[in-house]
Amino acid sequence: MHFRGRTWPFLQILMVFLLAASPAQAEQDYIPLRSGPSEAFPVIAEITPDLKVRAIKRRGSWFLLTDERKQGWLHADQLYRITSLGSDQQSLLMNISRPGKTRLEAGFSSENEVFAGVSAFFRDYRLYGRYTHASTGSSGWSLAEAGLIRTFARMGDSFSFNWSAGLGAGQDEDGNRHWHTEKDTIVPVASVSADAVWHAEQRFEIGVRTSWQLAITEERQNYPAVSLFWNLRL
Amino acid sequence: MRSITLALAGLLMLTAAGVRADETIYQPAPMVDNGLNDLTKPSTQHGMLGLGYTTSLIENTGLQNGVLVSARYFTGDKWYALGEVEMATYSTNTLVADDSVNVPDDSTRYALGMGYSLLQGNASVSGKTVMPFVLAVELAAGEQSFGDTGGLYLSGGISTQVHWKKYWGALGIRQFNLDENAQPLINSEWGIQWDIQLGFWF
Repeated sequence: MHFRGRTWPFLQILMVFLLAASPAQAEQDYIPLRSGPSEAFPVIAEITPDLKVRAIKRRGSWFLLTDERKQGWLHADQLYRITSLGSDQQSLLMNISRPGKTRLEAGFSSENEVFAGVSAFFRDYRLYGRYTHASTGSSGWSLAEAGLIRTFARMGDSFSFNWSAGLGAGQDEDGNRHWHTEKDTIVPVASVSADAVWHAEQRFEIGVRTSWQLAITEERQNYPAVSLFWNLRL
Repeated sequence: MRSITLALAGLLMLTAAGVRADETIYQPAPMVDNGLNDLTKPSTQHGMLGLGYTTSLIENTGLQNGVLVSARYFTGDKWYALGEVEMATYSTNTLVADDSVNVPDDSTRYALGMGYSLLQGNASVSGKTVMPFVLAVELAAGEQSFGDTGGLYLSGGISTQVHWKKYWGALGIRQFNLDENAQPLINSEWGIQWDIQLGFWF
């Protein structure tokens, strides 16, 4: 092949540019895998998007990936970067990492109460069931209730405000006079409350509740309380 | 007679042909390779179960040793829910309060709480193998009973956990507050507890 005198220098310059540009084109995308399921854990491995890997464990929204030689944790939001997984597998993993609609609740109140409950979505509301127990020395009292929770305001993605109303049955134990009843007598109780909830993480919420309980007896005793509680989204 | 025989033979042949025809009907099974059958679900680690040994120093009393069963359920990168049951006994301690000797009953408590991972990192001794560790703050609320009496139990402490592939271990220290009605004879309202726990993932 013959080049004329003017063409050859031009080709030389072009080749230099192409060679200089080639490293940038070959720059590889590396996906970091961590030693534990959190951004705070250090990176212990890096993989390329086309490396064939499989997810062997899930903890919350994190997946433990392995290529049979090394392994590390990757958040579900980063799964799309692994092209070898395929879109169907990515969708499956994304779906199973999402929290469900059931919440478990636990907390304690200013009235020496400890409570635990469960709630689940029902249309725009959440149905809840809650058991409250207070132990005061050698006696105590309890309350089992069920009702509805409704979110009436939100502040960004981090805070929400709820009200709830429920009906239940209260009982004094071992001579306690909390509900002003005779021994083993069950008292119908109505309760209303307002919650301020901080959505700490995808599956975890912490809230403050002001509640007011009314024993539906002749004495119409009422019991205000302030509670600290936490919700676990299953 | 011959025509009847021929007719029967014809009918038999038709029937046989019919059977063969049925057998040769093409009935394909749906074999759609959409890749969905190849999808694999990873196993899920919901949390950690543990069994531990505790030593508590309660105000106005001696040391109390106990057994602790705990469960931690992961709720995200940092937070987890906590559930505990502890059974403790006074081994050789007798207590003197108000000029009388009281031997307190064994105690049982349960508590529900939350943990927040303050520090997460790698622990390594040799430099060749690393283990994730977590230093977490844990808060819990529950009830503690001493025989016939009991009261609200609140605790706050620190748990240092090392995570192996199948197991985990933890050292913890906490301060707890007791309702004044829980131990009216010995007037205890708070204490400090150390614990060591070993467990597995579930």
